[in-house]
Amino acid sequence: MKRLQGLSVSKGLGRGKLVVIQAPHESAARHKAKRLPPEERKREVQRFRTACRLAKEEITALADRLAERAPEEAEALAAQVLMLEDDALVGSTEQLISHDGLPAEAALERTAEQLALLFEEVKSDYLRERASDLKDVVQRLQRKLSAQTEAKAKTPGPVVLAAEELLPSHVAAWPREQLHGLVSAKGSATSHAAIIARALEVPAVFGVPGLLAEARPGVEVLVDGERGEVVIEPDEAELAAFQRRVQELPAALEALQGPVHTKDGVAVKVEANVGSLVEVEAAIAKGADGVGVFRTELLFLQAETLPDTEAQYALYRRSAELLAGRTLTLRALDAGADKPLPALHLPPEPNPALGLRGLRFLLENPDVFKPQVEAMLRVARNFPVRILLPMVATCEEFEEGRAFIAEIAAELGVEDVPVGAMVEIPSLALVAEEIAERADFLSVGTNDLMQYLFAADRSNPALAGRYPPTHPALAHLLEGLVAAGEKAGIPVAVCGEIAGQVELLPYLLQLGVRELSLSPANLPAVKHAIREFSLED
Amino acid sequence: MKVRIKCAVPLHVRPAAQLVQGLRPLDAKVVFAFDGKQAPGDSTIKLMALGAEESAEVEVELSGPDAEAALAVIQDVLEAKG
Repeated sequence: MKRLQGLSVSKGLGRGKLVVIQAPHESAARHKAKRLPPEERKREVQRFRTACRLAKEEITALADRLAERAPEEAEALAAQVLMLEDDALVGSTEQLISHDGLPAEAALERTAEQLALLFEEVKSDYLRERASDLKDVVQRLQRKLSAQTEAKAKTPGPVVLAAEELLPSHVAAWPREQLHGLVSAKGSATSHAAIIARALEVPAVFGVPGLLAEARPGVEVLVDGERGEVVIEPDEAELAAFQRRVQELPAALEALQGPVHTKDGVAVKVEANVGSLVEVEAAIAKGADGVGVFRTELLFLQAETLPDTEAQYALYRRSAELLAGRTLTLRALDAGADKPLPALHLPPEPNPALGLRGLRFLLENPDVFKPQVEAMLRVARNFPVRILLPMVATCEEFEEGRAFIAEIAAELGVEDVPVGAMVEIPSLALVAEEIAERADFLSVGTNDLMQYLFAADRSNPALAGRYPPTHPALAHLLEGLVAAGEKAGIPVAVCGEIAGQVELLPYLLQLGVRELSLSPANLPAVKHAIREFSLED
Repeated sequence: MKVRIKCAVPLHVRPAAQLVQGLRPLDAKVVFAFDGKQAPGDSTIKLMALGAEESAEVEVELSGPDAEAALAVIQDVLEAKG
């Protein structure tokens, strides 16, 4: 038995026979020296074309499966289909086969090497990222070619896939029912394969150093996506313990659902910060009482043109449907020169953190603000939706934003949609009572609030830890906001990173905070900690 | 015919795909050049590998009977503001 520690990128517990995916280099290398006689080349070109067709079918099928749950990944896959029609890849490879007599594997590898060189010189991160798509396409083709020659029988029953670097195509090659776990020596929670693992709900542990040295194909493997562990060839005691946890897991998750109280009976609302449908699902599975902040930037992040009302409406509506009656708080676009949103063509600013961003930007750009508000209000017709305005500096600005929304609401005939303010600029926190009288709810974004309060860039490692969240200056502002909320009878939630830190929970509860919004991953721990805590102690 | 085009949009996947698909039916030879690299108008991969970001100036060489129409396609994709 061997236990390896990695990073959990998709939760759950899985058990299966290990299938190790080898890098295709070895098989290609075997073909390198060979030259085909002229009469065999035409058939070899045919073999390559068949591999292209099969690869295209496989990608299209996976893209369809992911279209709803991970639209960004589906779009990246659609680009791979275009690459499979590209003369630079397909034509060059065929040329090397028919002209130079290279076997398909070797011809493909040589073409891929030349194309990869082109991308290495590119300065843009985004485009270099596309080089990994190209690599994935090439590997998929190589596997299609080797599958034809070797016709290797697939392992039946549950499998755990392992690779040096797991790619989307590896996952796509297996039926979902057979996939019980994914393990990768490299990779992180944001790699393509990790996103797909979460969308398909396959337990996955990535970043497991020494994985391939330890693992022999065909052995029994446990993938523990809860603890980020991989157990190779587990002994009987380990297997028994694992089986028990598999049976208890649904009950443990079940126990997290519903409202939580402290030991002395104080109710605390725990909502989730999310940015995509996958995260909405994770939030529900982990017992969120609702969505406290839905970051709407994602649709804009990679789009080259502005997403229209329909695209936004579809996303918000689907989220509201999944939430099944729980509140959905949609935060209006928090754009600014600090985030690269290509469709907005924002000119660079000397100091983006203090520039035209958040609500200020929206008020200056009604062509962006209006379609988004329309989409939100349309969903609000049938679902409990709240609208949250980002980066509000003054009560006047908030009123202006609120009036803008009211006008569109009147046009659409939608009534009573709560409008709240993000409190993340100290100037707004200092007039807590005034803003609490005007807003329907407040969300305190402690990340930005601390950055502006202490004049300390939160991404600057030289300043890390210098201004703790328990500093009296922040405590004073939080206390004032909670008191103002109570006086005006509106909810006040804390939604920065500190809301997800269990060690800070007593501090926040003692300040009077009764609503938290945090990353789905931290929900179970925070809910559990609330139950164990007593304000009277 | 040789023209310089200032990209209003970065030459990412979608514009590259639009160019390839728009130019495909036309009888024109189109070669893009940027940053010392060249890309034919029929290759999504090579167009992306140019690495032309927003406001980059790319050089386009066009020839053939449909060169004018091809230029219109290119301007439509690269110069159109979103």
